[in-house]
Amino acid sequence: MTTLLLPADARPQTRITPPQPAQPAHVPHRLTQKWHTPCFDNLNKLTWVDGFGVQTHGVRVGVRVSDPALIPILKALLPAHAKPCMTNRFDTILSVIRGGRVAGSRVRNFHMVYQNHTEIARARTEEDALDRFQSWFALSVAFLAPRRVFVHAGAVEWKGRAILLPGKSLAGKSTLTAALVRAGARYLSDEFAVLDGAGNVHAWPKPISMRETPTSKQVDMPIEAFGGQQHEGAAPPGLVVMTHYKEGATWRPRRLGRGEAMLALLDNCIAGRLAPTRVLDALDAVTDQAVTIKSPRGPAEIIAKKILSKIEKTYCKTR
Amino acid sequence: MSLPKARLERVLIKQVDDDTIFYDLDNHKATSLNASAAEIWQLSDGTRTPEDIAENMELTDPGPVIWTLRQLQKAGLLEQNDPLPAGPTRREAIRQIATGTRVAMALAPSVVAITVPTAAQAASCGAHGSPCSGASDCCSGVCDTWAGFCVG
Repeated sequence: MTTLLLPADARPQTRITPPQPAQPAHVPHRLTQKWHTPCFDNLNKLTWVDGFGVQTHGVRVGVRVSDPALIPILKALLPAHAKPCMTNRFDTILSVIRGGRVAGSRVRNFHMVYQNHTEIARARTEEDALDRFQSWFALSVAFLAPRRVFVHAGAVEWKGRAILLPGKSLAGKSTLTAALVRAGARYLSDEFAVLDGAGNVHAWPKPISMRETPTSKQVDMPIEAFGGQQHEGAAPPGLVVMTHYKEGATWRPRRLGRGEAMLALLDNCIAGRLAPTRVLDALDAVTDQAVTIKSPRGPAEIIAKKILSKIEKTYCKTR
Repeated sequence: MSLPKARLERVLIKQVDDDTIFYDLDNHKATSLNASAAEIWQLSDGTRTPEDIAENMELTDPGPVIWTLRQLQKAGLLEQNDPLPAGPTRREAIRQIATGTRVAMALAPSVVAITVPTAAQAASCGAHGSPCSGASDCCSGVCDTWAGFCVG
């Protein structure tokens, strides 16, 4: 019987741990201290073969993938104002795992997307996963932007003033935004009104997302399809319209006091809980300059003309 | 019963024209008070009964004050949670104010409160068939997490 002599300093191993795959240095893997969690370290143990970083509205977003072929696809989904960013710590990291059929097997893996350590998509199709990636990219920027306040709202510019259309999903914001653009207003966004500290409204350029019915999926349509133009730069606020589509509704707007107007806007702010002081200051600036009205509405094309007429009267009155 | 006392801790306060906005940092509730309601909140210093506050505001009936204090309590803007005496409805309170002696109290107290939404709640939700990971992703509030899409 052969006795295996071990070196004096050998330690018995009960579990063999495979070596961690070395990640390319440019692949995002570190969050700022504020957003780092131990669970995120677990996600770092997976194999991420490629990635990139972008910065927009002061937010550094890292993107990493399990398949390098995803890189150009994901970059095409980013907003135009997202610029490449070289940093070793990100405010948020979106991780995308390509699923699909496993070669030589009948197994089909889900397509997965994570925001930091949180699973935000587990989709059967790549299209659905990319949809979620795009939505959560925007939501992450809206939540984390250090010097901007994002309001879930449609927004257009008319005669030098911004019109905001805050509202929850399915309120008809995109439909009304499209109607205002068709009536001649310039497009800012149908998703977010981006406010600065002085209350000015900046654009969040993206195609208008329209639904045929409340239960159907959104379809992105370029602004040119509505005969519209993108507004460049910011516009001071002129009118805030709290409205939602209701069949048979009579348009009878009542003016809201400043306190009620601020609450109505706060109810649609993305970072209201994260930065209440900064958010309240921005909403204070908006309601100081803009009139807020509230009413349910009927067909968008008719109401659009009334809204543009209202802001003209208000604007002329204050000047 | 302890006397009503305005809560000052963990509350952001912002004056906007005649209205006052309160943000409760613990419960993420935001409340807007008009001038009358804000005055009642300020007079609630732990030493005054509702009748004292009404007298201070030259009201003949404490009903509107009691109504306002109940709203303030619901909004978390009073320190204690002792039940307040039964009072009028808002409509009755307005009628009582209209017959009060103080002309300047033209506005009935108004208390408007919301629970500030989370980021996901404030953003777009998915229609039927949209991919989801949880209920808050879906407009219907129902996510088939096994299949991974919104239902309803």
